[in-house]
Amino acid sequence: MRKEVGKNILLVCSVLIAFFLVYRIWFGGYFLPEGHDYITSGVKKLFAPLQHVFEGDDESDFSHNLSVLLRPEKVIVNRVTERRVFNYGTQAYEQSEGFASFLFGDFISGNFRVLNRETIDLETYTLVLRGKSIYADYGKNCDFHLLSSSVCGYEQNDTFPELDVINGYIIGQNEANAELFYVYVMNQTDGHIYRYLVEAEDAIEWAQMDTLVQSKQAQSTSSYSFELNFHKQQENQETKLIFAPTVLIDLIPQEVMTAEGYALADAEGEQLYPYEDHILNQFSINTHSIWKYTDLNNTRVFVENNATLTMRSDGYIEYQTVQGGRGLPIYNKDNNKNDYTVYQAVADAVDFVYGLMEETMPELYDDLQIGGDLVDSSDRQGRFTIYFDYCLHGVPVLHSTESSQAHTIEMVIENGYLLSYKQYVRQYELSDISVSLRPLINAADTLVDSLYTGDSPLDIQKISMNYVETEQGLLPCWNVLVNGENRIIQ
Amino acid sequence: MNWSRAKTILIILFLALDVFLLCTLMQTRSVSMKIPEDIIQKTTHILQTNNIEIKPSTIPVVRGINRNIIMKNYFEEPELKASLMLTQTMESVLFDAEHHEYKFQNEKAVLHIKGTEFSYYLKTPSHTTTAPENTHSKNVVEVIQNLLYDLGFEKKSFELKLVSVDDGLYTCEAVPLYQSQKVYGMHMHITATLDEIVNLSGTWFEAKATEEFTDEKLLDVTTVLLDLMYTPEFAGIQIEKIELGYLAIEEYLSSREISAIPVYCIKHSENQVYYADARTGELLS
Repeated sequence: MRKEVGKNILLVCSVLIAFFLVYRIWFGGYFLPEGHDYITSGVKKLFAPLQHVFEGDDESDFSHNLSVLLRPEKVIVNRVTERRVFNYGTQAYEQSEGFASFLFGDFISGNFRVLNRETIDLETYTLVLRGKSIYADYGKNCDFHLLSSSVCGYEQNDTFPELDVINGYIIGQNEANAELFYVYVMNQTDGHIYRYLVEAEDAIEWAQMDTLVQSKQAQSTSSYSFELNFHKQQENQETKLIFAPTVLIDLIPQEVMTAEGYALADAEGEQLYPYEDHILNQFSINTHSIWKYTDLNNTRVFVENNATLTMRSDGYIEYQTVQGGRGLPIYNKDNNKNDYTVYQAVADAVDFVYGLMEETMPELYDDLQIGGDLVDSSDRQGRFTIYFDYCLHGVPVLHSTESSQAHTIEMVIENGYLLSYKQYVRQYELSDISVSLRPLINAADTLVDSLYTGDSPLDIQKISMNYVETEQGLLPCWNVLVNGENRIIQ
Repeated sequence: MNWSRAKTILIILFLALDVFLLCTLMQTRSVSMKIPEDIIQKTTHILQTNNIEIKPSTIPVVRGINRNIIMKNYFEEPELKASLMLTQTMESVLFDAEHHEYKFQNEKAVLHIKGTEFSYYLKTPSHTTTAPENTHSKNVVEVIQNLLYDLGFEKKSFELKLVSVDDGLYTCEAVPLYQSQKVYGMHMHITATLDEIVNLSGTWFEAKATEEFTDEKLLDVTTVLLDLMYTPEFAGIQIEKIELGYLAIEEYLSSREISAIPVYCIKHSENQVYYADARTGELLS
């Protein structure tokens, strides 16, 4: 009996050893260099078409991401006696923007019938803002195809040939007929303003906007510059600056909370970035063939033949292609690289940022907005710089550099190839300390003191509040677009 | 059916199979770790017919492991290293963490660290004596190795080379080692008598970890050598030595942590040294 037990054990052991040795020979890297991966990748390839059938397309659709990343900076709900300004990031903003973009989206997608289109003058356009209307202000010039893609989910090519670049739209209420409404759009390329009379499928519930305005206690103290007559030269006195007619001017000083920033990375040093592998993968950096080092300030540097990736311990990452290098291919296969437009560049940029951040840094991705103009104005054909801003409670955060202020993300793309990528991977929290933001008119005076030469009035196209991150923390500042250049005024 | 007999037969069969598989495994492992002799012979023949002199014995037969060596600045923790080199009696003269500059001393010697560079020197060097003429260089190296060990440097972590002797002062150079393989690109200058280290300076890193890439093998040295046929610098020269080691690039030596990549170090007759990336075959210098 004992002998049989011994035999059984010996047999089982010899069988197990045989299996183990076969496993070692097959998967030990001698016959199959990639070990298990060789088999599993083959199986995956085999089943990929089936997987595609059952799981459908990838959810990371560009239009979806664009609708999240490209939204109006603010929505202004104008009623006859009241006005409310809802900034990005608030609940009221979501309600009002949802209302406006629903109407605008169905208008440009052709779901609503356009009964009439006419060209109007600036005075008529501005008068609309005094009546019952909603003004969605993007705060930047946008290619119309991009904006249509962000609002209605797909690129709108043919229906509105008169529109190239717009920076917002106005939905005007038609009080005589609840099923009709007006859309006002200024084409920034030629300055033409269009009014469309649109017929909705059902009566529009404007009462929602009345309720929204009434539910907010404090009435806005902002006025459009045309209401204050700041939008044109004065007849009897020297005019030192002119505001664009739709710039909102608040004459009362605002109290704003300060904030503090911190790096998402672990500053202890051992693992600077919990997402390092993912970041390297996104930039297609082959960890097998790179030079890497960590400098005395804990900055991680990865050097490839064609590019360098730097990760600072304060959360700043920078990818830079070598001078004359082609860059990292990020283009969508469907895009035509020979006629690379801003639409394609933004699509590629959005997909790249989504891929980089959505899974690993969703807390930052969710508060990103595209900043800067999105138009075909590049001096070099096919070369675009795309900016993204992190918004803290709806307020974009800029980062103080040695010479100026930087956006949270800055990408330079040429014909589908990423030449440079800079990002501040930092998080922010509001502090308990509030500071008084100087009145806008005072800020404008500062500009006059520093820029006005006596020749022609300064032309202010846009004013917005930004946080600027400095060594002292985040400080609220005015960001003024004057004579085509951005100026920061504390 | 006689199950007992059947089991015995199965046991014998499986044991025989195990022995066969084990032999196969050993053989494949051995083959995969070494370059076959005929390949080496063919390579040398091709190189010689293309005007590059090389002996088959110069070519290392053992294949290397594809890995990076992560190296940390030796003086990352300056106080700790200072206490090893100057013992407990040392005092801190300068401690500027912001600019990464430190100075420590004891009654006998000074250690100055600036960035990743360091220098250790005696305050008043002892009277130097002429070394006995019959002192063998191997013995000198051993003595100086022991002196460095006394200063906290592990013997297995460096290789020492005697450069010159002048009036009882030995000048040496040390390069770091990782598992007996050299890490090129950095070194330490040593001036010493047979009794003490007089001066020590340079940039020094120690291996902290490795990154192994098991799914990708290094290029065989024979492949790299065959590429040299198309490199004009190697026309008409004789390759004297080839070693598999690791290379740290000099311009990154001002860093806290660096990675050294596997390279073939090729020395030719004109005392020139070339490093070829063992993954791509690309000549690095």
